[in-house]
Amino acid sequence: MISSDVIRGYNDTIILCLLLAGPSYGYEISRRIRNTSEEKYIIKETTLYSAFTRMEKNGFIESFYKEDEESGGKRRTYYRITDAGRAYYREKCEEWNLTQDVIGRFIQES
Amino acid sequence: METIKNYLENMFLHLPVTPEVLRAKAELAQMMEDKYNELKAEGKSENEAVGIVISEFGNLNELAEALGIEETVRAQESTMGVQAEDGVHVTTDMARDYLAAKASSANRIASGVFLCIASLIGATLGAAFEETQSFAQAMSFGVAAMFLMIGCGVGLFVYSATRDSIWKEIERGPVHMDFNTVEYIKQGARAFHPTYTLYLTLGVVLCVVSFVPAAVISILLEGTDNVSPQGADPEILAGALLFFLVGLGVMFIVMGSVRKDSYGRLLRSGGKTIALLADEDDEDLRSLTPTGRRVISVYWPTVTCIYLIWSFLTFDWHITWIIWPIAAVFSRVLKAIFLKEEVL
Repeated sequence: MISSDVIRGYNDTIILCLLLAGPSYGYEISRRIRNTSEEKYIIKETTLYSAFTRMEKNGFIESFYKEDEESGGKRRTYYRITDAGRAYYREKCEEWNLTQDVIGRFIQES
Repeated sequence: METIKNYLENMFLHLPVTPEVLRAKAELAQMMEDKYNELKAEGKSENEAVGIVISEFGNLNELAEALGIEETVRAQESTMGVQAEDGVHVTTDMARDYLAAKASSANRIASGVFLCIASLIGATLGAAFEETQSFAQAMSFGVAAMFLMIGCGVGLFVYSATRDSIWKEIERGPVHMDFNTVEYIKQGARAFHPTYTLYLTLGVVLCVVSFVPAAVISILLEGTDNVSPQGADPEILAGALLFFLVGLGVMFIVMGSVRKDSYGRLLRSGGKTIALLADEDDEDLRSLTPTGRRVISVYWPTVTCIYLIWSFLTFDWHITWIIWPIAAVFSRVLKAIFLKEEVL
């Protein structure tokens, strides 16, 4: 299990990456994070929701309502990525490559 | 699912009713419901599913900024004793680790207790061969086995105490925790309660029926009085079985009690129990003076000891049970003596 302190700065990146594939809703995203990370990272509901509101305020994502056919017409809030979100995602990816490069120099196999 | 809804209701109880807050609540409820449904579909039990959903919910602090309710959240947390103060701040993860550690420690202590009680089997079996030629060998084997088992038992106690010493701060010092953690522990305590009841019942039943084999055999043998000089005395063999059953019974009781106690300890903040979990017994205890509480806490173990010692020494099981009704009445008297003045 990864600590939430370490990963905090990259929750947005993770969510945006998943939204690149298409619009999605809260639990679906949380499940895909868990599956993609092979259960090494389980995002808390409150973390996820505050990331949604923050990114929506910044214009990186948009929310809309959609009836979900699978679960019998339940109305869910879906999120989709905006152009600003895509740009922000690229930015964060570059930032991560830099971070990884720098920190990597200080990680030694003991 | 009811528990999850109540949990969320409680979390939002003192927050102002604004569109943002309502939307957050609806969204979180939806996510929790989805997760719960999927866990159930995976075949998890109600308690497991609820436990996982609540432990992965997160923290209200994180929402504060998104909802513009920093002030309210801070005020709410301070009423729950979360503000910076002396003592240990217990997070949900810490609580989970502590409870897991205590559960394995409960198993170790219970096995130790079992070994100590069952150690008497060796000596008893040795004594069963008293009438035979191999008595000397049987007895020395028996005694050796006894000391070996006591040694292992004590070893388990020492090992457990060493392992548990890292939790000293949580167990003794004042602790504080946020609402989620309290709710998580309470959920765990509720989920454990049926197991606790089962252990306790099993333990008491085993202790009570422990003398049955001995009694049955002595009735069967009554009047025959022809113990073969080659074999062991069957009555004493049944006595060995008695120690085994008592040991097993006490093991269950210890296992249940240690684990139940670990929930209780976590939910204590600065000597005060935050939890609503307190059952009637605790309610009773709280109305007692500190001395009274100490007396009551050793009362039933003492009575049990007296019962077992008296019964084993005299083997008058048909009389010794009288100690229980007397003890029950006397415990009421004790509680009345130690009642706090303000309660009177």
